[in-house]
Formats: sequence, structure tokens, C-alpha cells
Amino acid sequence: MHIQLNNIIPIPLSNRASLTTSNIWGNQINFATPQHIKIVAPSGTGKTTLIQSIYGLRTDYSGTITYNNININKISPTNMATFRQQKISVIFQDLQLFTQLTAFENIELKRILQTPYYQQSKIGTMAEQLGVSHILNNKLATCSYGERQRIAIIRALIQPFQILLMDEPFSHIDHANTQKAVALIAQECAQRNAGFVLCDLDNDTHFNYHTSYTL
Amino acid sequence: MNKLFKKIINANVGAGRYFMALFGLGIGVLLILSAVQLNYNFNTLLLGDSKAKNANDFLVISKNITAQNMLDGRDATLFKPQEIDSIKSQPFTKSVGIINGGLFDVYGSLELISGGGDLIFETVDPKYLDLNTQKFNWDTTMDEIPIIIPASFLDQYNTVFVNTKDNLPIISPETAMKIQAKITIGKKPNEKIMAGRIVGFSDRIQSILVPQTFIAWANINYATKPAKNPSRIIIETQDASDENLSKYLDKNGLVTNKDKTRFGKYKQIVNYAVSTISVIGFVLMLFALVIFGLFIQLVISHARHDINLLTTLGTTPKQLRGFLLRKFIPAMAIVVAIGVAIVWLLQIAVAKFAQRLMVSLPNYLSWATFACAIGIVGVLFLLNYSSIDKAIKGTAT
Repeated sequence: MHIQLNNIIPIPLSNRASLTTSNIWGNQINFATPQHIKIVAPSGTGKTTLIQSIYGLRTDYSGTITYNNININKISPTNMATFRQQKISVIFQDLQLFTQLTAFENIELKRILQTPYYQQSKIGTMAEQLGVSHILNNKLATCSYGERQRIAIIRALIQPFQILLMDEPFSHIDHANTQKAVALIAQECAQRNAGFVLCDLDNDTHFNYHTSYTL
Repeated sequence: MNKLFKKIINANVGAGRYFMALFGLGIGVLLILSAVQLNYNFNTLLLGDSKAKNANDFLVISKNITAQNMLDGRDATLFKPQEIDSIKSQPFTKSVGIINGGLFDVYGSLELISGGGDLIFETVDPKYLDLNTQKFNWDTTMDEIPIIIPASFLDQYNTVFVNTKDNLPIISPETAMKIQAKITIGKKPNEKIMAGRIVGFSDRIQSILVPQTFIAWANINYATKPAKNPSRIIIETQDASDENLSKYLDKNGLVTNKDKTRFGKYKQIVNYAVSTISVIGFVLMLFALVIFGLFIQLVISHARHDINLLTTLGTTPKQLRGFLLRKFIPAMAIVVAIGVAIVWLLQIAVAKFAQRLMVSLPNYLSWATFACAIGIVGVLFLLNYSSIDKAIKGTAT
């Protein structure tokens, strides 16, 4: 899997001074499996805009984004869904979970949306690893934000993928649980020989990054 | 997965409207299926026999005599060539036979009853006869003319005429066919005396018929009158009860055996009734479908955020459409199935009632009714598919 950004400039940010110092916006960037990419993005530089644009959720930018050399704006809804089921997974900053479902159901839905990559029992194993097994049967609405964030991480890791996009994935998790989540993510990426793109506010040493960019 | 989709997309919104639409759909379906079955029952009752035998009907057509056309004289009863061509060109006409009259005088007498009188010989192509006899042939070497008379003539003789004089014998058809009549054709001094013999009785044509070859020969040799257009023709038609046939006859001032075309009038009335019921059913169904369309839009717009999130996570349009179709179509199919069941029960009741009137009707539904029901489900599927597709595309932002 290969993602290319060709001179992307988000229209809402087009008049910001920070664009000139960015080595992502307006440049040609390649993300390829199994690279580990870190993007340091101070507040207001368009971190979420970048992740959403790469994931195909917004089109308000100039330039092009391609998946395997196909302009993502030309990919049909069905093919885009297939990419999201098979090739690209994501951990949103705002989590994007269904509050009317339980924690377990949120993960299960993503597991069975395509031919399952893991057995159902893997949900329990991962939840155990991240310390959220006790809330699996709780409605999302009753879980804390930190618990929800870990559920969102498990949901992203339960499906097949070649690239994992992460937008401040540990923002509401304490240090100990962050280490557990980092270990799980590294383990799952290694198992799939997958790459990732992690956007966060500051530099960190969670993973061995191959490349770092500043947004 | 559907279980989870069901939890996410709450379709209980507007349940009242949903059940109202289902009810409207049910009534519409019931009316449409009843109309189809009613039409089938009518055809079975009135037309089924002739159609089953694939037999054609023959109708002798003449002009209706009214006070108006009486003033036109004898010509008012004659068919002009263009009128015959018009009849030939009608879709209900398979063929047209002309009943031609002889142009010569005929006098016939029977020794058996010691009497005689002027006769009129007519002829028609044998394919229009309702009897099949090898004896109805004539050529110039034959002195005996084969004759077909209306069956009603013999009935009239045996029931009425025989009582008017003493010593007149009753005559059976077999005896009648053995009696030779003395036939004189032409006018003195150009006349010829021949023998005539009845070879059959026709229920269809109320004329004294002789072979076409005899008329042609006698017209050449003994004609005493000028040629004129025919006053009666015979139509071969697949279905004498065709309402278009009755309409055409009425419109053009033509008359025929009313018994045969009466069914056409009944059919016309039934068709009006069936059309009215169908239109009402169709309109009701249309309203129901509009309500369904709005209901689907309401459900989808209510769940817009969740559908967007499902799409974001990688749900394909096909998965979403499949879920929504499974949500709506079974209920509609059940409504149609209930409609079929009710019409079937009604048919059984009608068949039982008809049996008491010594009329036979099947206690099962026609294939057309089933085909219509399947067609309705098909249309519902397509309309729902299209509404859902549009609504899903509408949410993709």
C-alpha cells in the first residue's frame, strides 16, 4: 500500500503562516508500507484535517492524494469502502464510536464488516491487554473518554490493514496504559507488516519512527 | 452484522406512518388482485368454453331495419363493397363469407304435401356451413340439386304448419332427406324442371342453400333479375363475445344473433368494473408507495449521522442497501401474500356460492393473479431499491 500526497493545501488553512514552515503541506510526500511515520503537529496546524483528507473524508484541499497511484477522489464509494475494510485503518481523535452500542459491539461491528481477520475471542484478548475487558459489555455512553479511546484502538486493530492512521491516539490515556497500547499497536503492525502514520502534538519515543515530519 | 445495524439504525421512527402505508398498500393490492381474479372468473364463465375448444364463431350479419332507413327502400338492406371491406379489416374478423342470392325464379313443390311455392335459392362458401356433408356438391351433369334448409323450417312445419291442413304427415329429418322435390328454375319459355333433395339442416343460416356451382350455372342460363349486393354476410371470428365486435355492430347499424354477442356486452360492463377497481387499487397503491418513500427518507435522515459513521468505517453501499431492503421488503411481501390469501379465500367462497347456482368456477386463483402478485412485489422491490439508493447517496457527504 502506497499513499502519496501531491502538493496538498487545505482550503480552510490556505492563508495561514504555518503553511510555509510545514514540510507536509504543499509538498510531495509518500507513505508506504511498512514505514512508521510520525507527524508532529502543534495545535491549529491541521492535524485532523490531514488525517481526514488522507482517509478520504474531506475533499476541501488543492492538490491530490492517491492510494496506489489512484486519485482517491475518483475511487467509487464501493472501492473506497473496500480500502477501509482491507487496507487502511484509522484511530480518530474524536473516536467516532457508536454510543448506542456496547464497547464490545463497536469492535465486533468492525471485525465482521469484512471477512474477519481475527476470531471474536481476540476482542477479549486485546481488551485484556489494554485493561478494558471489564467494560466490554457496557454501553459506550457509560464509559470514560480514556476507556473509549482504548476501545477505538482495539477497533482499529481488529481488522486487516496495511496502513494505520492515528490522530492523537493516546490523548486521554495515562502513561502506563499508553505503553500497553503502543505495544499492542507495534505488535499488530508487525504481524501484518503494516505501516502507520501517527499525528500528535509533540515529539515522542513511543515507536521507532522511520521518518518524522512537521505539519 | 444486521443485528448491529438494526441497533444503530432505528427504524421505529414514524411507526404510525409505516403501518398506515402498509395498510394502504394492503387495500391497494387486494383491489388489484380482486380485479384480475374477477376478470379471470368472468372469462372462465362466459368465454372459457369457446376458447378452450379453440373454435371460431360464425355470425350472420344483416342490416338493422329502422324507421329511418325504411325510407331508403330495399337498398338499405344491402352491403356495399366498401362496407364489406371495412368489416374484413376489423381485428375481430378472421374471414367474411357472402351469402349470395340466385338471380333466377325458383318454384318448388312436394307431392307428399300436395303443395308448392316460390322459393329463393342462396349460396355460401361451404366453410361457413355448420354441417359437413359430402352430398352438398353439384355439377352440370346432375339433375338433382342438393339443398340445405334451415332446421327451423322443419320444426315450423312439424309444429305449426302440419296443423293447418288435414292429412298432412309429420316429417322427421331422415324422412325429409329422402323426399324428392320438383324444382322449376327460370321463367317460361326459358325454364328447367329439375329434382331437389334436402341433404342437411342448418342452424346457422336461415336460407335455402344450394351449391355455389349451381347458382353460378343457373345465374348464367336462367337469370331473370339483375345482380345486386348481398343483404347478409357471415363473419368468422375467434370470439363472438369480443366487446369490440358488439361495439362495431351497434355503431354501424348491423344486427346478428343477439345470444352470441350478448356476452360481449357483459364483458364490456365487467371490463368497466374491473378497470374502475384496478384504477382505485392502483391509486391506493401509489399513495402507499409515496408514503413508503417518505418513510424511508425519514428513517435514513433520522439515522444520517450513524449511516455516515458506518460509511466512514467502511460499510459498502451494498451492505447498507441490503440491510435497509431487508428491513422494508419482507413486510411488503407479507402484505402482498396476505392479499393473495384473502383473494383466494374469497374465490373459494365465490366458487361455493356459484356451485349452488349450478355454475362451475374454480376454487383456486388464476395464474394471472399470482403473476400480478409477483409483479407487485417486483415493482415494490425496484421502487424501494431506488428510494434507498437515492437516500444513501444523499447521506454520503
